[in-house]
Amino acid sequence: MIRFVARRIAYLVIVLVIITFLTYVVFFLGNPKNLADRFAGRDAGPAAIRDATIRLGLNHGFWYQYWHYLTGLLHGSFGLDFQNQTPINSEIARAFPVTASLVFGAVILWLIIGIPIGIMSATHPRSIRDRVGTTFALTFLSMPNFVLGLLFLLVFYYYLTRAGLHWFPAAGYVPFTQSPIQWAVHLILPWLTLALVQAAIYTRLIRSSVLEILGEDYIRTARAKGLSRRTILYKHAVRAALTPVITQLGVDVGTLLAGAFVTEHVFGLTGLGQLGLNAIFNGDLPVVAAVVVLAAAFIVVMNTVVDIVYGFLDPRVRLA
Amino acid sequence: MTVSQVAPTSPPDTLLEVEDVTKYFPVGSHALGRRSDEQVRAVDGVSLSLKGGETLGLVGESGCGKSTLARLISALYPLTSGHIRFKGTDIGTLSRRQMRPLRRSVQMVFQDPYGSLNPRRRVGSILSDPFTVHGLVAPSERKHEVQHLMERVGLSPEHFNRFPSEFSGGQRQRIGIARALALRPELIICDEPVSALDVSIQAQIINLLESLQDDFGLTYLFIAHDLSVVRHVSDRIAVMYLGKLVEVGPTEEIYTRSRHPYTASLLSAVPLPQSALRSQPKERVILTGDVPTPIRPPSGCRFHPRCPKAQAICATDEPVLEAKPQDSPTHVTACHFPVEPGELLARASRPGPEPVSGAGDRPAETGA
Amino acid sequence: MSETPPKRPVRDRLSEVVESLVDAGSEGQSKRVVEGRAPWRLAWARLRKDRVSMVSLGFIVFLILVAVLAPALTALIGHGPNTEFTNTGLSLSGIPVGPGHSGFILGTDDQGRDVLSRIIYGSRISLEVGVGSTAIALIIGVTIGLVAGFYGGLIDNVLARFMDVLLSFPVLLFALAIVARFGPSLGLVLVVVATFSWPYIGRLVRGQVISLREREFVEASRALGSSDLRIMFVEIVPNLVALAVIYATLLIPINIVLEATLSYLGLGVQPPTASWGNMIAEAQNGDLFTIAWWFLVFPCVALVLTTLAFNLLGDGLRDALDPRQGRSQLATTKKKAKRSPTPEAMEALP
Repeated sequence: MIRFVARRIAYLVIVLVIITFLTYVVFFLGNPKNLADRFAGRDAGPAAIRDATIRLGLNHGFWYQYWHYLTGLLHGSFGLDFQNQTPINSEIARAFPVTASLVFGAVILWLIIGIPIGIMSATHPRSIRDRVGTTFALTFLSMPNFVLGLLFLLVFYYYLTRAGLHWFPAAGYVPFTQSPIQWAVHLILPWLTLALVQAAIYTRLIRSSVLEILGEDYIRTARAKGLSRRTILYKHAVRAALTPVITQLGVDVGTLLAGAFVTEHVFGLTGLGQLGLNAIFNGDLPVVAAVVVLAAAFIVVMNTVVDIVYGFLDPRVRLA
Repeated sequence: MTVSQVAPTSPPDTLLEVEDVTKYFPVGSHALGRRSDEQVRAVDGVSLSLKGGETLGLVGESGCGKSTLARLISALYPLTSGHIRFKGTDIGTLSRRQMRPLRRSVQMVFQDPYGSLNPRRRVGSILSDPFTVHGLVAPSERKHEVQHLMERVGLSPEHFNRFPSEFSGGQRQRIGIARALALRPELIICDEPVSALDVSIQAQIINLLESLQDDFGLTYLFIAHDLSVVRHVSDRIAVMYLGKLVEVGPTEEIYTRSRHPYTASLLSAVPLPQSALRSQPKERVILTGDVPTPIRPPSGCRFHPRCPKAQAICATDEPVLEAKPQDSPTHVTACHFPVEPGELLARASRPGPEPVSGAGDRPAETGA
Repeated sequence: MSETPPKRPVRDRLSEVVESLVDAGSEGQSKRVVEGRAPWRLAWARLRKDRVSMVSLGFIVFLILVAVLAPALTALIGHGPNTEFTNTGLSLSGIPVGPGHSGFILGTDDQGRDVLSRIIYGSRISLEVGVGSTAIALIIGVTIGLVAGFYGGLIDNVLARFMDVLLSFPVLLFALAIVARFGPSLGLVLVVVATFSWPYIGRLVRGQVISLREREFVEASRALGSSDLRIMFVEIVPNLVALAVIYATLLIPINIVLEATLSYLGLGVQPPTASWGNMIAEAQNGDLFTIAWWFLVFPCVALVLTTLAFNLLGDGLRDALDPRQGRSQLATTKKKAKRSPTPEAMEALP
């Protein structure tokens, strides 16, 4: 078991190293002078540009910069950004709670929505309830995040506001510490945007998973023994069916933490995604690298956690 | 363990010679992270030979290594050690390319009529494969050849555009036989060709194989676990247990005067019609214990934990495959205490200490 | 051979006779070659019965036609996709004209361009990128999956790990970074999308090949002396077609959405070229869409319907090509062990 865990962690590290390297390569392939140009300010003379180059550390070779970066990482620091030379760590620290609020709130919401519908669909296959559930699932499945988000904004914000019902704000994030109610109110639409699409996916997943379990022989045995449908359903079937859901959840949390930035963009939330997007547009290499590494770290860490948990639950996986 | 009898020098018509062949498979996952250094000893020192035109039946229970041996002879698996000589040529040393032309002489009929044919290919295409791979027969002639083949094995030639799923099990096996036959091989290894078929169909397929043998001068290595089937087709029989041969001899001698306790127990399980009972006294010999694992086979004679006649020496000394007194020189047995004519095994008692058992089996009990 | 061949039982001789009679009977029928009921013909019949899939397929065909005939269609309407009809398309105060007004079936956008024409041309982009990148991903994925699964060992290890790493990438983020760095262009978007989607197929193909290579018909082919290449392409690939078709169909909408997202964020297809994504982005500019809802809503509808159609078709294909498999595996990239009751569940049964 230890060996299994150790292998997964070693793998995690390798992947992260590869990703940081590739990120650096993508950006360094250009001319460092251009970057310095941009940050030196307008009408900068050659002297100013040279200054900028030195200031940003661009005068050194690729390997030097990369090495510098790696060692910084190992000390837990992402370095300084190009724009204002502010520590990236603090920018991330400010942005992370936003993304985290968004993602974890959405998780709760989509589990609350998705699981019951999925179970209901599975226990009444081909009924009206099932068809409605499946239609709901398929509709939202196919919606890109930003489409749903914009439509929500259109309907719930603009139309309602025009009708005089100022229920939902336009955009922006209010920290929890400042006002919990405002925090939630500002996040409801983003939560729904993320959650509905995910709920659709999970509904289907749970439905097929539960259906498959219900078809197993040991459920038939339980039924033959005289257990009530409800007992069978909740004590046995759902527990077994939840395993793949939990692992999928782990993967999705990682992916969303890494990539909810479209939703953030639509709703003007200053999370990691926005940070990354702005940095990309500005060519702010260290910030981009930081966000990419962090995003990759989320994905890979959650994948590893899921693998380990799964290995814990199902010993056969460990031997693979 | 080498064969001490049976063709001491290879007579000119020896088609196949298997000499002290072993095949071990590693246990556990490959590449990084091998669980252990243990190996599955699927075939552990087997020697036999085949004369042109004869049929050698190879029997044994599941897991004894007969299918592995079949694949070794067809050069589908590489050998761990030993030699396999086909008409004098050692095939273990050949490269893939060198082996190619030899494949025209050795072919195989597989056990599973449902798995041995690619479900996504038409039968005509499957049967043209031998011609395509070896460049025989002009493309324009291939269809004709294939239909001819199909007719010969008892199928309608118009069906050559059909998919395997549209044929019954028996018909699919005929397709498999046609495929093996296409290259006009000299040796065909039949790996349990009728085990997956209904009993009524089995007879048809057996008859087909026999008539083909007459017409094409084929040599068969016929592998099965059903003894009544094997008796019908074979000239000689070899009995295999846990990777080793325990008894080899002419068919009738094996059936009427078997010497190895394992063979006797196999034979005792064959239902006999009333009239045959008179030839040999019959008692059901029921073996106790599970089949030991081929990873850690029992010491000495591998059969000793289950053998009703086992004694102390059986756990320490491995018996040599040799002809016992009163047997013909072609009938060899590997046993310290072979079954005597007329002996009733079920009542044999077992003196001596508990046998040394391999992993995974329980100590045997006395009596039936 | 034994001295006297044993007399064959009557039963056997009888069955032979019966068999030859049956064969003679069928020979009496026409000698024409009988066409087989191909597996795909059966699958198509199953798909035909699924109305939802048929509707989706119809929609997709319709979409393809629209994309191909775009110039003709816009000529019919009379408005090009990029022409700004500042006189007829915008009201006096510069607000776009609504659907049905002034000959604009779906209205105009903030620059007076015909929304319908732009949507028609946008379909070209979506299909080009969506289908194009999927095609590339398919070719790469099948090839690598085939090689990795077939050869196993070190090659497989390296390739499988490589696929895993690619799948661990924050795709959108990285794609954005690349496009930002090298400048947005249709070709680049296509390549980037393909690069991150092929492992999705590659992994699935690899898994299938691993189980296929142990099958007896592969052994039989080997026994005939077939080369590795021949076995891969003649024996294994035909058994991969179903899988490839299903997952390619499911990959297309993912790639379409990826392109739309990139364009929406400004890093995909650039205006004035119409892409559903950048149309939506433009609609959000200046909040104009609050007044002129149509030039936000219609591209959204187009996008959602297209994605939905492909998803439904993919699902239907999965049912048609492998009816025994009732499982829905959307968006899962994890290797799943076979499900079976956990020990606790078994313990809990009274």
